Amino acid sequence: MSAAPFSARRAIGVVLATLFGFGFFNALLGVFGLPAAIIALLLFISLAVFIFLRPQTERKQS
Amino acid sequence: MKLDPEVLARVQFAFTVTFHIIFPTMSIGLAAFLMVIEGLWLKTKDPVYLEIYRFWMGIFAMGFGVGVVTGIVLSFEFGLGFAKFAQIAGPAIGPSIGLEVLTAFFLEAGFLGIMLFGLKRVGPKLHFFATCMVALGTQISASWILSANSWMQTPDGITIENGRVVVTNWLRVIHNPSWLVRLPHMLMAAFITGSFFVAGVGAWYLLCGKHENFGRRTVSLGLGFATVAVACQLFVGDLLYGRMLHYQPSKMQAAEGFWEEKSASPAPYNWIIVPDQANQRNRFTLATPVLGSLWLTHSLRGRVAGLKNTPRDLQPTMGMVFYGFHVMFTMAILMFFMVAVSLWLRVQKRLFSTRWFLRSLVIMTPAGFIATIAGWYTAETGRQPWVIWGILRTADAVSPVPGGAMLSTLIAFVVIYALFITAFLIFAFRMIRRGPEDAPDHAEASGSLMNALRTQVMDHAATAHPGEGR
Repeated sequence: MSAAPFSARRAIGVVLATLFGFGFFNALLGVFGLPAAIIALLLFISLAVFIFLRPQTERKQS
Repeated sequence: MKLDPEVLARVQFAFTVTFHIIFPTMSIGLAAFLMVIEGLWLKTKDPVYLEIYRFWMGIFAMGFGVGVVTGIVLSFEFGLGFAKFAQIAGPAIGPSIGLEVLTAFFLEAGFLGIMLFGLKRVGPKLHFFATCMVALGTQISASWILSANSWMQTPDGITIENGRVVVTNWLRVIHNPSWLVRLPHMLMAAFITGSFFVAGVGAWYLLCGKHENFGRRTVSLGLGFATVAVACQLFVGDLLYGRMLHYQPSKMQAAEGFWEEKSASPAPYNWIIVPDQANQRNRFTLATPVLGSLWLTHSLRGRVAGLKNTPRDLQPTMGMVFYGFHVMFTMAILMFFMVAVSLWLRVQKRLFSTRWFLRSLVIMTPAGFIATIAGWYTAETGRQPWVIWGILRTADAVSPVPGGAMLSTLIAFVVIYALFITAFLIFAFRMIRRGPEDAPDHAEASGSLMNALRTQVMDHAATAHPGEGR
């Protein structure tokens, strides 16, 4: 469980992450045109694969 | 009371196809998942992958069986409820359905036995090959069915002679204008459905504090697949939106809930409407300003075309199309939110310990099924009043069958399918409650339904194979 106290830094992080996610969502929907949608799709998948392949310390708890 | 055969035929087909689509969607998604899992097991020899494979193979087998049985019923329903459609469109639709049997069913039937019963009877590579062939079969099956349905949405490669469809170009019948966009849309929907199903069950184990290795791995893999598939789905969904706007403008006009020929500029995005079809207006609208222009026209000031652009007698019922589309799209937004948060939690190394997220994943377990059904409602109700777009109206396609006969078969379908879904849910929940450690190496015959329903049989099966394959 995460029980980190609320902080301005964390709030800014949440807002930035939301904006980042909303931007990706719109780009994938083609709002910025087809080439931007293709680039956004490739970027998103690359980012997901990169994060997925990072070692998860939580797995070692088992 | 006068029974309208057209309404009853449509309700019957809607009911049976809604029930049916749950299972092939699950089969396509789980078959691909099993293929990847078995590949990972062969590569790493990690026993957790084998445990995941054995567990999900059981649920896949049940879903596959129900999917085949309920799919066959649909072919018969063409004759029962829509004989005129079958008579007129048979030359174009029939071969696609026949080829589905010839290519996909034969492939699946040939390898399903090895997949289900052969884990300890054939070599691991042959078994993996069988799993791959079953997964390929489910996708080939989807290709043919999507080709046939897409032809009904965007017919091509035919002429009409003496009131019947005559094929002039087979390639264009199969490769009709919407097929190559609708097919990936459906396949992605199936992958997403399977991924959220798998991740939801894994999250439930983590919340319960049992089978934690299994739970972590399935949550991780399920969300990994879902992340890629949801992103691809948003991309493909927008391509399909553009294609449908070109070929079936009335469907998309109804899907967005606008009536006027041109909306205001900038257009709002409608979330909830109470449409009044008779007066061609909305009684109530809940909308977000500007978002309609942004999402639907990809500009800040674009106007959206409304349903008044389509003559009244050619308009679909707005409420059904609108809510079908919006349930699907809302699910897509929620699923994107979930996968985006999962990436963040993965970076934070809190993916398996954030309980609110795991609870949300459990709640989202059926999200893919709901989105898929809603998407099909959009596709089918949005095509009305046509059964074959621009060629044959649904009202003209109905069989000359008395309403009473149609009602009695509808009741029979409801009763039989209620038994199917009850049995499926009982066995699926029992398998999930029992957990992966007791999953058998292969499908087991219990002798009778009564035996199968007895818990003792399950317990016996669990104790008969202690630790095998692990």
